[in-house]
Amino acid sequence: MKALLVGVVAIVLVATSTTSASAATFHGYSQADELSYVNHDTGLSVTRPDRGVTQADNGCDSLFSGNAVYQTEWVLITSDAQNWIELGTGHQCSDTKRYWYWGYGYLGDWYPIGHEGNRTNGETHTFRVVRSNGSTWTWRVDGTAKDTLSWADQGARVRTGLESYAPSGVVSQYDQYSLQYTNNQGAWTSWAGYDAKYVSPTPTMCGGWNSASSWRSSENSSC
Amino acid sequence: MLTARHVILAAAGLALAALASACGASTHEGATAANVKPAAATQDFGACSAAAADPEVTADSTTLTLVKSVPTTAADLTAWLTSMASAGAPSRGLSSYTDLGSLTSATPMTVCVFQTDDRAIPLPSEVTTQANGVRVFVSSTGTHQIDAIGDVTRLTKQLSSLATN
Repeated sequence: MKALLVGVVAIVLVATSTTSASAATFHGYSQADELSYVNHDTGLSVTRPDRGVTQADNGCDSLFSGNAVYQTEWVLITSDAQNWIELGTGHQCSDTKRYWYWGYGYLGDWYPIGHEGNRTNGETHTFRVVRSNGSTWTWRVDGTAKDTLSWADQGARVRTGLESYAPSGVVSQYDQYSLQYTNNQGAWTSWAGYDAKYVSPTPTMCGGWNSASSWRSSENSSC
Repeated sequence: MLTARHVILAAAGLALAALASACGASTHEGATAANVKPAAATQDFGACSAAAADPEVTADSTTLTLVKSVPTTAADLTAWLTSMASAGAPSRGLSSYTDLGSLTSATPMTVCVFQTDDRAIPLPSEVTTQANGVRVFVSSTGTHQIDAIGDVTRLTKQLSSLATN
């Protein structure tokens, strides 16, 4: 009898664990990288619209929760991507919770620094993460500084893309264009390398180059 | 007579008991450990209460566990942030936290680490962090701000070098 109960308990626990894991594991990407000069990146500029998202009605009470969808950009400080600086637009709660956010990642954890809510879908903005004065990184939207951070390191690569925790989310195609970088705090330079891309899982996530300085993304929608 | 229903009920009971036991054996240090549904939070989170009641911390979690609370001061917290920067982290003074910028160096603070359900934090595709922890800086008046969201074990371990009072 005892063996039977232990066996049933094990089945119950395994079934519960399996259900939770499958519900939480969707994490899609449609992204492109520029590797202009490894460990010398000091700026990233992306122009794109804040695109409307169809998604589940959850994540309504807090940032970075629920089936969030992020239109975002990263300066990867280390090549292993465990350290980064990020600026993006978050969509949650049936896209009623829309916000610009900025922060950084260190050793794989997320350090949110600021956000600005009530963004308007359809409006196009230029999002920049740029370093000056040797170690001061600034998050800018349309030229307006949102905050700064002191981090002496330069970036290993820069990246733009769409990140989704919403397996049934729908994001119609949008372009991330006028993609630019700076090296060693120099002049803004257009992406030119078609260096790397990652789109997964397909066909849920979709992405492709329009040109060396323009990347398109979508989810559950053709691109 | 023992029916299948009896077996299932007994199994469910054992499973719940096992889960409760596991929760009681958490790595809590400092304030009394708690494991509650935020919506019915009646347990005492001590100096971390203000943070425990913040939806930005609970994030719709089915459970909220106080894993660690470290009493300190604004001055010691600033020194800890500086030491983290020396180790390679970005440098970010306590004054840069919007809600904590007006603190004096002697202000009593508590650093609280909660375990939550996994959260959908933004991450590069190479990162596989299980974002089941939230670290919050809480002042003696209850003013607080989230410091980090990520792996609860890692966020907790980083506090080992934080001075306590």
